[in-house]
Amino acid sequence: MTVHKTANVVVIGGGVAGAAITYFLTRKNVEVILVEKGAIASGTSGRCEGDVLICDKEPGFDSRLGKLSQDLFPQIAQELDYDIGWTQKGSLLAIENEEEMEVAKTFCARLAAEGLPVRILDRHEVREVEPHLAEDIVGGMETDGDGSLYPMGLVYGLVSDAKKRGAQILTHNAVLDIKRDRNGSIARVITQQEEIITPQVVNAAGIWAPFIGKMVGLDIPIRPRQGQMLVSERTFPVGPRKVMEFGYMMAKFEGGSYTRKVTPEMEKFGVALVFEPTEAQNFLIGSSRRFVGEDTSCDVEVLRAMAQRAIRFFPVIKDINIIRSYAGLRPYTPDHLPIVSETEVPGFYVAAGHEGDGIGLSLITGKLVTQMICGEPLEINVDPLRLGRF
Amino acid sequence: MKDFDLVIIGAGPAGISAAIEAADRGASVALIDENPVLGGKVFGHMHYHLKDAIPDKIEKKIGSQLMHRLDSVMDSMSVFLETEVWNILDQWIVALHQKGTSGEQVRSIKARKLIISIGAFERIVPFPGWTLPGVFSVGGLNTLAKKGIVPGEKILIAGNGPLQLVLAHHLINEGARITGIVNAVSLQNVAKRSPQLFLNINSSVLKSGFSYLFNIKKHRIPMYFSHVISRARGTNQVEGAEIVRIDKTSRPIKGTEKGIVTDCIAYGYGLIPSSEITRLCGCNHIFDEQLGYWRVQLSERMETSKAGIFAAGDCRIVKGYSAAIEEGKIAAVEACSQLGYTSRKTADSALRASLKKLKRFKEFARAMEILSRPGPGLLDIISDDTVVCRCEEVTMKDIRSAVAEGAGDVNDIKRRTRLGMGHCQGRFCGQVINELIWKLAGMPRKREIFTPRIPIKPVPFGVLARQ
Amino acid sequence: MKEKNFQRKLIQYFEMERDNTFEIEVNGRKVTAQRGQTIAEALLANGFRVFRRTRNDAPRGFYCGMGVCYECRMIVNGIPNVRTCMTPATPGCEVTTQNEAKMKVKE
Repeated sequence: MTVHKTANVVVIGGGVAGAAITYFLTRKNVEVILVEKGAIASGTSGRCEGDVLICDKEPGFDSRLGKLSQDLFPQIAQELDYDIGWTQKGSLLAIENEEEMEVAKTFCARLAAEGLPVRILDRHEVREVEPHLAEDIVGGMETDGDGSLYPMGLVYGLVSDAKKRGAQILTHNAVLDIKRDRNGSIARVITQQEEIITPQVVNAAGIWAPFIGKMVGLDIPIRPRQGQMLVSERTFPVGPRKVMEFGYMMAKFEGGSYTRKVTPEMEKFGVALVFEPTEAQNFLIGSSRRFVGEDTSCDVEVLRAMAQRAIRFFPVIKDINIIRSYAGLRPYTPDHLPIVSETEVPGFYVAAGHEGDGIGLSLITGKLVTQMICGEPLEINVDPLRLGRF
Repeated sequence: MKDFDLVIIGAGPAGISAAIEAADRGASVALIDENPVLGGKVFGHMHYHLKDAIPDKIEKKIGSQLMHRLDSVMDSMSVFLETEVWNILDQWIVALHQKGTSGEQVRSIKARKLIISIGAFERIVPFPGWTLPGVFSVGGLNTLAKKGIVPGEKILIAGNGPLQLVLAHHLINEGARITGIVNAVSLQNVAKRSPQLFLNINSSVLKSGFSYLFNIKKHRIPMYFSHVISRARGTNQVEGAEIVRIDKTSRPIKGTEKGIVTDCIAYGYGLIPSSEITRLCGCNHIFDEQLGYWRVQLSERMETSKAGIFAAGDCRIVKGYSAAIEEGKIAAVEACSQLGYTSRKTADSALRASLKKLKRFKEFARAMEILSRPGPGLLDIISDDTVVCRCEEVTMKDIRSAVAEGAGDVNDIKRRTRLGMGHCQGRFCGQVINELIWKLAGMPRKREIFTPRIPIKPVPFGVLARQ
Repeated sequence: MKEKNFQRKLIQYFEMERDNTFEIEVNGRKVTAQRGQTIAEALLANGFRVFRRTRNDAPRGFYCGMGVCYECRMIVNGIPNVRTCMTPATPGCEVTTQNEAKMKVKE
């Protein structure tokens, strides 16, 4: 027996993007049905860390988009009924050597020119704010405003709020097909348990966005890029806030002209320091990158490289226990920017491909998609994020 | 990296027995244990020579014999003490964490064959106040008693399982005052299982059992059958408790609550096999409906579904040390036969002899285990303020809220509440969380087995990093 | 003759006792431990039960006795999260209640 439902918009994907979109749409009194094939936050959003950063954004559009999103968090954190553990302690990019320091100074100046609250700390200053950093670290780039939260909490909070305002949340209910009318516009969404009549669909299915895209004949170039994480035991504070390594940023943005002094394994697996203390009084250590399809199992070689990199920056970590490890799949696009876009299929939008910035960019994504659907002026020109760019 | 014919993980009765057999036959053996001494929970304390600690003469005799035999072959094997195994890679590289070594550490060893004999751990059902200092696991208090330590003056033993009697016996031997033994089993059920128990009991168990019961009666220790502990009271430690009668489905009967004077509670429902290593290796496991736990599937030669990996002793089914010693032997003999150190003929005849000895243990142990299994009604003891996940302090109320918000499986509860994310890696809360979800969500039963993730025991970053 | 033997045995006994016991420090107090005891055993033998306090300030102590529950973790010689049930007591070791509510970043 097929249940028939109707909605103004069907959002596909119960991760942070889908949750944020549903949240913002519902606040504009749009009738939304959110469809999720598993449980809420059971995909990438349940296997990540809680970053809301601008320190790792490319100066320009990337950093502007990041800042717009970041600025939405304090208010949303307060408004949500859920405690998402939001803190805004800023972040630090640790600078390993003098060569990096030179580039960091320039990079910092570019971000500052965008109006972002960044500054360079020297050898002594950096140790004042991060006493456990290795002795030979020459300095750091500090970014105010960078924040951290419990990612699953954010998703649950956004969904819970949307539900209270009338959104229908359907879980354990995969989308099987999307039907269009004679004009090629969106008409119906067929799920495992119902048929939803709707003129609009938002594809917020993360790494499964290509699968959904095919249902309407669209090619969406998103690939799952695995990242592994190590979780520490609860212990004394090793650092007050997020620390990453500047060297990796350089390698990422300088297009291969800079190579860090790392082991072949670190290079092979794209290992870069990510240190994130949590409200639970432990910390997360990342990060790695490799393409292994939809495999979420951890490879001990990768974990080893991550542990080594972490100890290089925070020697004290050597004697702290690892409780567990996990892996998540980042929805990766060829140019590292997400797809937040209308498409050539009338009524079909894509909001996916945020790679490692899903949590941080979730709120601006939600806002932009809502503006698109409601015909309101967009917060920022999203031309760089259009699907057609590929 | 050093290569061994046989790596034995866990040096309790099963592991030691296996090591002796294999070393005797000329195989190169590595014996690993996380404790500073060999012997496991049963015989470990013998090393400390802390007075005449074992009051059970049979246990002492068997233990001494085993240790003497081990002594004679010790030199021909590599023994890794204070060493934890945190990962096993294909065919088979065993990752080690040598806790007691300050110098150069051995990071991993290679094994041609593996015997897993890591024993068992406490089965629990949370109850209000069970996290208070002064509430011990039965196994934990037993370990203390065997080393001459009695951390209380009015000890209450609660839960179920034959270990209760063993504990009582050791405590009495230390001059401890036991205020009562509260056992969930009903005398009716004991009567029902009596034929299975008595037909298969062997003389040493019979002797031990009777001496335990006799001792309890002699010291006039009250025994409450069909009762469970419903609350432990106290501010910073146990200052009292409440027990309650249970019905046929193990549900507490309202109005039958009784206060008990106590300052120290030993609580547990028997033991369940530690299966993290066999699960990590991808061996097949089956949920035993009678026993109420997952157990690794073995051939009669103690081999798992992964060729060359064996399991023996309490880590596969809890049967006690005598069975463990036989099983360790079977596993080692089979491994040696596969390695070419012993002929198939010799192996087969050794197997037949051991299987004969084991037959009785099997039936008796099964009957005991069935009696020890906590009934489903016990979940009703858990109040909203009861801590279910000890590590992350997740209460029943938190779980109830999560289910009300739509959580329907363990991973969902984990994400919402942090249940299972602490140091014990879900070893305790994991025992009841499925049943709790079913009870709260009214969902159909679906049993899942979890593949443990690296590391299977908490391990320092430096050990993973090899630095 | 008998008295000399008795005296010798008495001295031997005391020497044994002396070699068998040593002192450790618990929250600043000197406590006697026996050779072969773990830190947890020495604490329990001396009436200490509250080994740590959780981040919600709940008291916890020795529980499983086999190193899997981590409830017995304390600060030993300045190092936190040491499982006292698995760690042998050594002469002069300093043991402190691990107070997890206080192990936070100073705001």
